[in-house]
Amino acid sequence: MKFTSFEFIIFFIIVFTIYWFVFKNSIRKQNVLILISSYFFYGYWDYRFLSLIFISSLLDFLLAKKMQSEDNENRRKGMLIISLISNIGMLGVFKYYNFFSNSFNEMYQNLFGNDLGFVTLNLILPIGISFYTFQTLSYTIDVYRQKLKASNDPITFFAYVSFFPQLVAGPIERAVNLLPQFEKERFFDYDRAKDGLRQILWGVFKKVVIADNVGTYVDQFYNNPELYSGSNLALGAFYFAFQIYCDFSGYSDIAIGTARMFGFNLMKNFNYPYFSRDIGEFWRRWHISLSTWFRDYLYIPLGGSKVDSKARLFFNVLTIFIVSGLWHGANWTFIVWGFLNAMLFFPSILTGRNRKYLNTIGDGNRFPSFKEISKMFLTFIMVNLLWIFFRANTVSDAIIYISNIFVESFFTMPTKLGGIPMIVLLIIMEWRSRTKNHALENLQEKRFIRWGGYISLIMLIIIFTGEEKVFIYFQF
Amino acid sequence: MNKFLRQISFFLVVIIVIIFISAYFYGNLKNNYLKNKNFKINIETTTLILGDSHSQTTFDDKKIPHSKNISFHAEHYIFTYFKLLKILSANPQITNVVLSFGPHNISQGSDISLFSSQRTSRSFARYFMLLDANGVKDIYSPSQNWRINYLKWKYNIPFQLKLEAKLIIKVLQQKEIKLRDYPFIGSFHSSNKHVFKDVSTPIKIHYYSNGNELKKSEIALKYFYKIIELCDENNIKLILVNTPQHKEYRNLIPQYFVSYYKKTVYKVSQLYPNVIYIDYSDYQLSDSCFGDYHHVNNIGSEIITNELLKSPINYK
Repeated sequence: MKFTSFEFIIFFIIVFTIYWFVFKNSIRKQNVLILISSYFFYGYWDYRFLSLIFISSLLDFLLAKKMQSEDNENRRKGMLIISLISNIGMLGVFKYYNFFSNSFNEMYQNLFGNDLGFVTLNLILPIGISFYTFQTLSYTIDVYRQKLKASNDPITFFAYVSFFPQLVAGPIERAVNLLPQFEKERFFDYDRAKDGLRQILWGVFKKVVIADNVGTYVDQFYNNPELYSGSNLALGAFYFAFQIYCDFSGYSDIAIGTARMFGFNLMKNFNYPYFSRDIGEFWRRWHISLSTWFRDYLYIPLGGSKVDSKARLFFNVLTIFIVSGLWHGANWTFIVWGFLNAMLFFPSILTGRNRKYLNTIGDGNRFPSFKEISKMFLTFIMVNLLWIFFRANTVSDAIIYISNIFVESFFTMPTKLGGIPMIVLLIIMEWRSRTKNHALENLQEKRFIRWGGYISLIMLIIIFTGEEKVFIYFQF
Repeated sequence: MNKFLRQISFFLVVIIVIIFISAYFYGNLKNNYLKNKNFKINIETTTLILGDSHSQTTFDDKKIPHSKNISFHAEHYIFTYFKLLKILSANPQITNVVLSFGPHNISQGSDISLFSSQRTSRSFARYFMLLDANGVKDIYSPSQNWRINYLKWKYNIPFQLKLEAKLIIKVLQQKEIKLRDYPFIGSFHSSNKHVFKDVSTPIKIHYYSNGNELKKSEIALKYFYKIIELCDENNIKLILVNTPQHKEYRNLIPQYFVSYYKKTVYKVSQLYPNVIYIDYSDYQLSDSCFGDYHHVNNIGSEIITNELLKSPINYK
């Protein structure tokens, strides 16, 4: 069930009403309701997906409980390994098996003339598998590290893993943050609910009005780059940067806003990443829940930046970016995208400047300085070029796309400018609120101006709706 | 909670009122821009060229006397029918209609623009203003995009304004609307490109779905015959043209479509003897005359346009 569907509106109203009016005095009943509705929400796509999430949840629930009661370190480690192998194994089979099987076959065939005979499996990739697998992994690892007590209540734990607002595309919540919220009593808070609705509105605006709108142009440019001028292809790359941002951050906004309506606080997943002054800052602001996951569960255990040799540091940076690329999909384009990001990021970590910009750009000022604009622009251009690898179907398609940009016609006027006005509106709104959680948070304007703004956004959504595309991050 | 519900209810009432008011005004604007007089074309234009990208790239209307090419890429026959219906009602001087007609036009592949969740909305948004209730029913698809667009169509809720913006602005400014302002009106597309990328791609799009061969499109055929009948009723000479295709493309068209296409051509010739059929599909053109495997470029277009001028059609 998609957030931007009629079905979800009905589903939401029913669950919200039962949650706050019928079960308001019982956490347990509320958790049971969340669990049932989350399984319904997920099973609405394909009921067969339910078995995987159930098995994953059950396994981690039992292993974590056992791990907690076990004193022998080797046995605890063994249980952790079982959890890692089974979770990553499931992810590997459903998401990566065909990719690796095809790649090895192809490589072997190129080298020796015949393939290895690996068969490909006819599997459907369960929506959101990468998200909930990482969520359950964080739980068992944290229990192993004794940062978190294992849950004794299966209902609470299963509801945490399958919590419908963030189940299929994040934010990837750590058990440390979300699980305790399932164990505490929740109260309806007017301001929180109001803010949740505003965040949902902003998320839907980003998805329907910007991502889906520019996505139409992006498809045209990427499907037939040879038919368009260099300037149009550059515009296509620019559009894709906003398509993927608005698609994914829009989903996160809807997820966070929906969770707030039920009394939960989810972590911030995007912090205006295109207002970054270097690649390090970009990665602290883009898909924060995944970046911090990799930092805590992969980069730091590898030694992080506190290693003896530059080669080892390079290896750590490369690993985290390649794995991050691979997390996004089983395709060489994502691996190349990760590799190129590592190449851009490595110099800054080597010179110790990767954490240079920890404050907000233009902090305290209405506008950024010329220097800040230049840095922001340069960072955006670099990120934009790398997004081409992310979007293209193959690495060679990406190279063709880039080479078709930098031709004589790059200096002509692009023709498909229909997406620009809404992107300008987005940039203005987000720039104004760059220190806040979302663009509509805590607006200080008079009520009729605020309401005028909300109504305008709703009207834009109504006008633009009907050309909807699937959320890009569902495939991951 | 009570405060929240009160505020939400009040806000929803405001939104509903605004939607109703905007629907009222939008409905008026739409009726205004759809007035018959806006569809009038030059009184000297007697030949209309219609169809998809095949007629769009083939026939240069500047070279064909008294003609206008209004073909639009990926246009399905249902939309061509409604477009023609509207234009004929405002232009009784039309005596000829040239329509591109190839095997792909009657394949289910052409229905992608009607029923795939991605493409439905795009074509619905472009042509919605022309459709009647039966037309909308015929393009029904069980997707959310269709449902939303249907509600917008039925209740005059503003559609994709980016497609209508020009029309609405002209109505508001009380300026004259021209035929080319409508989002579904195409024009001759001249291209000097020559890209032979992968012949299997257009073949797959036109005749296959997930590796399986498609069948004939019932809806395309229904509206194909409706176009013929519309021309017949209005005493208009209909010229069906199968535009040139590269032999590599032609050879890959599934046999089912080749034979069904031939049957259809024969059936039309029997039922409607006034309809002219011209087949340029295997016209001997060099590779440099093709934009891709199934469209001609400007060189090919010049040759075929000249060929059409030799055919027994009265362009006056």
